Amino acid sequence: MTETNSKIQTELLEEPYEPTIIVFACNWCSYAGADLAGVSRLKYPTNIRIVRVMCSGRVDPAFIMKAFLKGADGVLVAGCHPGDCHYLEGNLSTEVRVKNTQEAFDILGWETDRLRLEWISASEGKRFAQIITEFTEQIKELGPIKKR
Amino acid sequence: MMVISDQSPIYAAVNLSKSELKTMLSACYQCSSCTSVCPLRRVSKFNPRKIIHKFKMDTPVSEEDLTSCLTCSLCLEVCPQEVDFPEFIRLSRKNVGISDDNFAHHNIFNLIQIFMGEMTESGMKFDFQGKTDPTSNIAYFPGCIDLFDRFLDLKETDFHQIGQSAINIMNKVGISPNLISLKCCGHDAYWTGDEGAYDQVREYNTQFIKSSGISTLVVSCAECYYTFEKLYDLDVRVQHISQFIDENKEKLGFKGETYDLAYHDACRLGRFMKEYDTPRNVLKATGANIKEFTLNKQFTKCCGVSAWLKCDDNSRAIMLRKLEETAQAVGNEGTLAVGCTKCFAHLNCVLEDRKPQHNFQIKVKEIGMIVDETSSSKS
Repeated sequence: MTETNSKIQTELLEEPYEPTIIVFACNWCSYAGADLAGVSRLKYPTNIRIVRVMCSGRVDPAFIMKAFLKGADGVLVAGCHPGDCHYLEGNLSTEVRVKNTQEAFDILGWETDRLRLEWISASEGKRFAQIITEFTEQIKELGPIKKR
Repeated sequence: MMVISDQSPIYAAVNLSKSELKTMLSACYQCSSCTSVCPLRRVSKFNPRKIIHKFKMDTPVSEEDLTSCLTCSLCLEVCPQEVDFPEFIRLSRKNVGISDDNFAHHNIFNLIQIFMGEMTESGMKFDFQGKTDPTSNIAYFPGCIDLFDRFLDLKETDFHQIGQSAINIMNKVGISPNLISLKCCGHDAYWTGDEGAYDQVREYNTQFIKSSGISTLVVSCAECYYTFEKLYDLDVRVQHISQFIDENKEKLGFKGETYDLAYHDACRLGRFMKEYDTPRNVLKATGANIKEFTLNKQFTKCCGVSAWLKCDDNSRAIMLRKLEETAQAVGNEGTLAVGCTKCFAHLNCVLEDRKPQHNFQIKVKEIGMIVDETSSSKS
């Protein structure tokens, strides 16, 4: 009896793993997309923390590194579709930077799946919700970051 | 009186208080030799003598001064009292702490060092062509060159080539090196006062090197060489690539065509490790006719940036001076040889700016690259 009691207790106490995901969303497309998702009352996991940037090209590899060091489990960089950038080609440089950062993670021997780049336009509220759901599932599967 | 000697305080865990730092500086009699040679003084108001004086008079060192110092150790070279100003700066940085804004490139390289210490379980992975042998007792560690390729936005500079040349050279000599997968050496964390991050990578590296059973560790970067040789407590032989080449230069079959070349003594290789002649001998063996700078060997001026701290107008001015000196020595289209990956990065960075900043056509090359190009042996 006591055994089952303690079992129930630990199960109740043990909270399921909820990852923290930082989303860098560009002001003109992806943030508006997130807005639309909210206005349309679409459901998506609450694990994300959105950081609005004027352009996804503003996101430096150092920001991504720092997010992970400060305890994020995943980072999503979201920008306008290629060709739609408010600043003409900011998102193209983002593509290069995120690719470089992923390559650097490979060199360091770390999981590249924790960093993702997506193009989300202002009209794609549904896509935003879908990507967030998908990415959260993916991070949940990867589990928490193992610090040394 | 405490004058800092070869017995560097890094071997013991030090946590110097303010009074101890003052004792360290007490030998200074304000002769201002340090200020007169300081490379930063040529372009700014930075004044080591005044910083020492102020500190003795209980005025704390400003963050600006703390982060500006290049720790190139030229002041220590001329100081009649051997007051270790760079060490004082390092310990002050450790006590005060440096904010992220003072680092170049958004602090990415120091973040990577912390990342390597805290998050990853293994060392860096390398991908080079040529023969390597994981059981060999001669190991080669390329350093962070692959990361420079990813995060420094230099289009014409290939950092990967430094490691590739070194492996080519070792193969030509007849050695298949063990491409050892260490973490970053921690030099920058150490010199910016972040000893927590430094200790983490040092512990991993020391253990990894000891368990790998190697007898010789060859590195390309002067900073790696200085850190592994002097700061770490390793029982293996650490060699800079120039020393390795010097021992094996007969096997490399140099063509012997003479050409002009300037050579810049990196502070970590020259003043810190007293390695002036070996790189010169190696370059001479390749057929180079070394045109010396007016200020060379232990009096060489720094390349401009250290430990990714504060790359600003002053740093640029120092780098441009370096290129100017090179142009005077070997002409506007000459070659400058360096023994340090960092000098290679900084000088190439300013070279890629081109007009309207400058009009130099100089090529900056690492020693290993020059040797690999001029050697005719087949691997």
